[in-house]
Amino acid sequence: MNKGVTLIELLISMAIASILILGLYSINLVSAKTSAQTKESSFCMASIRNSALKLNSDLMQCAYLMPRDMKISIEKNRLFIAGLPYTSRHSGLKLNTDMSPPYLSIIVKSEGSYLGLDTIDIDNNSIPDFWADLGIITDSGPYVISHQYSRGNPTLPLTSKVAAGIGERVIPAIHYELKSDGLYRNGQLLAEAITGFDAKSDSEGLGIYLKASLNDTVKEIFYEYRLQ
Amino acid sequence: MSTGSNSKGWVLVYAMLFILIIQASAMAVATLIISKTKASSAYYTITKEIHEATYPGESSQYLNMTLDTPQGWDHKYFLTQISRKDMGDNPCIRSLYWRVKLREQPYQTVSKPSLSCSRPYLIILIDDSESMNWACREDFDTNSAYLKRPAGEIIKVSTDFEVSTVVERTEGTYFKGDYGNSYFAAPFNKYFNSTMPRWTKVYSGVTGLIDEFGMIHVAIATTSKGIILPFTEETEELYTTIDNIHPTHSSSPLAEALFAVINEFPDKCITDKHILIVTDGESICDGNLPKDIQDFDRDYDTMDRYIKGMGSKCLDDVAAYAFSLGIRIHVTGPGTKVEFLKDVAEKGGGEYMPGASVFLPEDKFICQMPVMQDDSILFLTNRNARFDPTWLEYEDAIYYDVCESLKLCLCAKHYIKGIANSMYQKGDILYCSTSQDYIMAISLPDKRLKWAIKGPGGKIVARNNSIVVGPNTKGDIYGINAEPTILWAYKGSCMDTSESSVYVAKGTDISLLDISTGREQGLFTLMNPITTISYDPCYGIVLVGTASGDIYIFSQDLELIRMITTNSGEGIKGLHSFHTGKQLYIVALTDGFVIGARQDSVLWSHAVSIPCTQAIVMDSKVYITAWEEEAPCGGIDTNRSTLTIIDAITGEYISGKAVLSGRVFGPVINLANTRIGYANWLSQIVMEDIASLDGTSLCYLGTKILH
Repeated sequence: MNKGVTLIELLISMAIASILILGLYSINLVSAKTSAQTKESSFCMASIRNSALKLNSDLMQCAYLMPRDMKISIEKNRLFIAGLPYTSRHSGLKLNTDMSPPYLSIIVKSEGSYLGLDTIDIDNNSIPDFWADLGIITDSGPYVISHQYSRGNPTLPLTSKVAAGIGERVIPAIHYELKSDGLYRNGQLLAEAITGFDAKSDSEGLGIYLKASLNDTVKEIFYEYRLQ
Repeated sequence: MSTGSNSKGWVLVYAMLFILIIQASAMAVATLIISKTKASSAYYTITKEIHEATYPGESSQYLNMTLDTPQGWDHKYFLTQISRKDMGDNPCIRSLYWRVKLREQPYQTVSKPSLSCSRPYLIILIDDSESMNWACREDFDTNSAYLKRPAGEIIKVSTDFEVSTVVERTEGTYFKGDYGNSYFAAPFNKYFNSTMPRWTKVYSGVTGLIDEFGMIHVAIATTSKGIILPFTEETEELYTTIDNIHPTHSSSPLAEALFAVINEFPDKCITDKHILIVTDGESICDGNLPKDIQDFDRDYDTMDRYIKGMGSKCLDDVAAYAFSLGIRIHVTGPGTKVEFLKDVAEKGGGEYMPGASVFLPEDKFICQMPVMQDDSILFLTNRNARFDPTWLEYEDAIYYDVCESLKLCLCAKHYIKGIANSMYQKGDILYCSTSQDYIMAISLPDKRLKWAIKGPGGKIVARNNSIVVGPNTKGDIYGINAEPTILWAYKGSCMDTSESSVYVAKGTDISLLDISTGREQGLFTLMNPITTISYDPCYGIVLVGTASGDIYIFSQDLELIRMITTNSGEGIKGLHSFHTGKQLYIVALTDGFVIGARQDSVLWSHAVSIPCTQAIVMDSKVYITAWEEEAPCGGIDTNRSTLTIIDAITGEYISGKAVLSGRVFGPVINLANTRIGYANWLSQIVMEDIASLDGTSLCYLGTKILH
């Protein structure tokens, strides 16, 4: 009975072991790469999903108690959805039994980038319905309320010059804007992986395109939302 | 070197490696499935929320509520009905829908309608000779009150006048009938030994007839003066004229007077000619007529000639002559010559002691919109120029008269006089007024007249427990409660009401009255006479139109908010308000223009060739009916009515078409069937589909997630 291994056996064993080690290493490499790609993909998907969820929620509640002809306004990289976001200070418009809807404000003053409204409490429940960074939709187009706006003031400072005239209708809106570092909702970063955002509306409804990318991972989604 | 391993060891290594690979693959697949499931679940939740929220399902909670007028709809006639649908528990998804609801029908008061096919004319020829003060066959009614006027004639006064024996007043001497039988006996002649004068009897008869007249042109003539009141439909003028006739003349040329008035009828626009001779038949100094007329009936009566004094009997000949010309001669009056008077009526083709129906048009017609009751349509039909629908039960009805101090006195059952010219439905009760100042309460479920009051008439508005009606033909506006009791009366030319106040216009003044008490709470005087007044229940404002074409907007406390000058130069006859985008819009009607205005300016104005009869704003569109009666002999049965639809905001013409022949009444709105209907005088109805208007079916107001 032999007590050791022969050189050939040793060499063969080492060769097999080397192959196994190399195999395991390459598996590890592939796994690490796959894991990273999965994370990126997951991150992109999460961004798209977060965006889609918010968009869906906002679109579902679009123009609640507001004029139905002012539901949506689209500008380049910006989408305005009539409505109010649910916050700790505001739970959305409420049906007022003394006022028949739709609820809206009327422009009584228009100067530079300032808009004066007849009321900032459109459902007349003593809670202001306009605040900083919120969007607005007017008969002549959408605007964004400046970050400097102090809640309760009937004059709204806007981030851009106003073209809307006196007598036009105004309603609050949730606005989505694509910036270089992601998709923003009412001035707050919603999804940083979103690098492409487009919305198109026609008589059939609203088409939304979302693109998320991170390193080499790119995820896209296009879906149509039927607005009532 | 020896490891002590053998071939079994390698098998174990291989097996472990294989299991490891299988496990890794299984875990990867499981992770992928979980991840996909989560994503799918999230999207499923979103989709579920969206679709269940936006399309009404069967497993949800509904709640209806009523709000004020929706935008684009006439403030006066419409409300908003909100349907709320809640789904789920936490979060709960709430969806709201709206549709338009009827506040009240666009009721309209139609004054003095006429039919071209039925235009009777009547001349009442009254014998004002002194023989009319002689005794008739009757005594005074012992329980009635009479008035002896300064000129000497005695008339019966209204039943509620209380006098025990005799009392002197500026208008004459009032006495009780039994007292009069002793102390006011009429001069009697050889035939009659009674106390009541003939004049007293014929006065009651003639005024009673006039009381039932409607849609008839009446002129008054006397034997002494000929025509003293040209043809008119104003009964008040007739009463006043008769009151000013005093039977004091010594001559009574009956035949000559009849011959003279034969030619007083107009040439055109007349379908029936009647002359009613009110006389005792005692001709005095009569018969001075053309030879061929003196004995026209060829009865060779020796008295068919001129006789100085009593005795000429040419009256029957002139009656026969008139009948040959198409004029019917009727006679009424007591006296000694009853048989002769009957003969005069017979030869004249008329009746002795005729009732009012002899003169009135028999045509059945309507001049109000129909009433929708359950699935049936009820027409307020008029016949013999009075309200007389066949579906109405009069049994158990209570009849009232307005007595002194606005108290209601019970009176005997009698015909409702005048045609139905205004209405208002409140719940199951239909209030209806007539052209001769009656207001009725009709229970619609059993089609039964509950009560009728003689006196109040005109436009009707029912609010809470009060009914405001007026102005009637005398310009009186009444506040009545449902019992009924008259609460107050006020003079005015037009009115409208809120829930608690009445706005009354008179000349250039607007008065604000408390609806329960009639107490005046405010007054505003304008520069020009007021032609229309309309309360806007949605904005709580009062719209006032003037004869100069100006529109005034007042608060409900009569504070002037704004004035709009239309520059139409014509009196405003209708005002309609609606809103859109918080902006108040007004549609004004004049005879020649339809005008759209905002609070600050006139937006548009259309000249119209045919006067508008009614307008209503629905979904920012004005539905205008226009009609003009045919000249010169018009009536609600002439020409055609048109329906024009224009954009209420821009004034842009949308569509137009002919509706029905004659003037149409309505629209009567049936939102359950999304139709509006117009009816003409023949009770023909045409329905217009309004299903395309936003709000006639359930409209989506939005969805909200309740956190």
